[in-house]
Amino acid sequence: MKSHLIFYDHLKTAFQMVSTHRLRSLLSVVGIVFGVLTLMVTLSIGEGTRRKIMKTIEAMGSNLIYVSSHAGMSQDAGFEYIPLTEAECQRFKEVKGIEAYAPILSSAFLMQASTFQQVIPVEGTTPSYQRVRDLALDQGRFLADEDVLKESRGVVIGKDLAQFLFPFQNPLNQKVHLWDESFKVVGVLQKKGRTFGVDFDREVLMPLSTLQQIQGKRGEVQGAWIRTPRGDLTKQVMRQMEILLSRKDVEIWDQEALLSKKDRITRAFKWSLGSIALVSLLIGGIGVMNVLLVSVAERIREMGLRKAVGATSRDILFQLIFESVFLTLTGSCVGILLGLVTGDFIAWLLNTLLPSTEKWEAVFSWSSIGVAFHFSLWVGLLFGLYPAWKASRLDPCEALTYF
Amino acid sequence: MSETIILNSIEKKLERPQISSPILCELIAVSKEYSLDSGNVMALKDIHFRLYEKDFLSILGPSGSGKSTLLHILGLLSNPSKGRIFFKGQDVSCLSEWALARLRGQKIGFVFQAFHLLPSLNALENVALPLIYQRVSGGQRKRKALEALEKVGLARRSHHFPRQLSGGESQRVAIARALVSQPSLILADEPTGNLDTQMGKEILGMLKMLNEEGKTVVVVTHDVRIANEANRILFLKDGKVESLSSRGEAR
Repeated sequence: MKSHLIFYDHLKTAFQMVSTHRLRSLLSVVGIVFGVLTLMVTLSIGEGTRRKIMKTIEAMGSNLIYVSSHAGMSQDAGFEYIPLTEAECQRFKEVKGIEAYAPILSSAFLMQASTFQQVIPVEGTTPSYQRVRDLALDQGRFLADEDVLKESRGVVIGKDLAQFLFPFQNPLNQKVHLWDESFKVVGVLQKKGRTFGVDFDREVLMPLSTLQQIQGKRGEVQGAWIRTPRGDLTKQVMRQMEILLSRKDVEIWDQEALLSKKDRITRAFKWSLGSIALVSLLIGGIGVMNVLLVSVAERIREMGLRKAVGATSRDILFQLIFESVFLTLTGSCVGILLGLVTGDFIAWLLNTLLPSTEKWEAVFSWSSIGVAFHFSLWVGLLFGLYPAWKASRLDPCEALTYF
Repeated sequence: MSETIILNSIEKKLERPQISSPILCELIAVSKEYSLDSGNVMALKDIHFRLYEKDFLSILGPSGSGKSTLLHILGLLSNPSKGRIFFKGQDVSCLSEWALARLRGQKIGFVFQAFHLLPSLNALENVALPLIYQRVSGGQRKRKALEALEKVGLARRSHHFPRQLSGGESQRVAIARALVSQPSLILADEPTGNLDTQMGKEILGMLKMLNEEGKTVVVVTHDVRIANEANRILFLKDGKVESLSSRGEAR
């Protein structure tokens, strides 16, 4: 059977149906358009976010390790948090393959200045942090051993913070007020940007001992950064550290472990939003089905006539399914185009509202277009089936005398 | 064996036409029952008759007498509840839905009171519609449709849409559509019902001409004057054949 001939005619009939009922067709596919749009935006922004996070983690360097303790379940059924101690960190010296390490304690303090009042992230650390995180100075000096020993009130601040606090003055030796204490700026970091959770440009670094004293956490640290000479040594170092610490509530991360964890998170994000998009696609299918049912009811006599001039039930069935698929695919084309534009718009919006060193981007991919088309095709088939079946089952005699 | 006896007894009941040509279609003990909410309705009761090739038959009867039902059964659009129909010697109750549709498309042309042209198609596309379902290629479809339109004198209106055509023109397009697959049987259900007298005459003339060219034509009507134009008149009342007569014998 030369089925391509009837294929072309079904296409023409479907096109005529859409073009004679433009508004109705448009309204019926709104659900599909939004479903596809959401799907496209989710996939493109999701992929963009994943790449952004990956880039950020990659920027951290492959030769860094982060150790921290995390809260675990205690025996009396509550959360128990046993922090790492400085003494434990001291023992890292025993590990072979460590170039440098720096314990850190993070906090955030309200900073009071003449022009503003804002909560600023604060990290307490040791001089080796400069080497571990590869921090360069713009002005002044970094924290010294003496600062730690004397619990001095000297701080190193980020470039952006310095410019904000002292736009017309030399920030060195200026006073900053954190909480209810006064500190002296001894150094300003070079612009580094946000790398993995820490925005060096906007934070304050102070001696570890000073922060411990202020917080009353003597000897406690939150975690430690460790630098190895080469990236291929991290696994070996991590193993040694596990044995050394012999604590179950300690997590040791290197770049690779972080990458795979973050990858899982963004994947979960993509799938959860993606499934919302799929649900809205299904609901969109109901809209299409509704319009097709109306269209069938309106064209009962047409169906009767088509049968009278030789159409089989199968011809009618295929014609209606074709119209359904045509509608949903048209809707998904519109959705794809809008999705591409919206994705770029959202990326632009994120870049404006949440600027960071790694730009937000909407990643265009053929596979997301493929997914969108694929699902709308199935939605069209699924929701076209019932109206089509109904039309094909019409008794031609009744259909022809229907008014 | 019992079937032949039945057939023989039926033979006696059937009226012989003046013309002697092969049988195109034969109805044997055909009944049609509809189930409605208010109960079952017998639309046709025990109908026997033969339709010969090159016949021009009119089915006459008051409204509700079962005329349209009979036409639909002749057109293989609906199956009888009881009885058998032979089309060109073939028992159609054995045919599949697909084979019936093909038979309808190729051998039977319909003309309706309400024209039933598809508003979104132009005259040419409307005429070509039956050919779609016979999988005729686009070029051939156009050629054949144009030929049919020429025959009804509407070739120059081929690109007009139904809303741009008068009632008479619409019915002529519908006749062209019925002709396009060169069927042997043309069934017309009140073809002049929606037209004024002049137009009606024109359409009837066209059906007559087609009959003279060798097509079998069946016209359903409630108008005696129109029925009288046919060679034979089947008078239907309450779903039964009241009389089957030659021209001019109807009441």
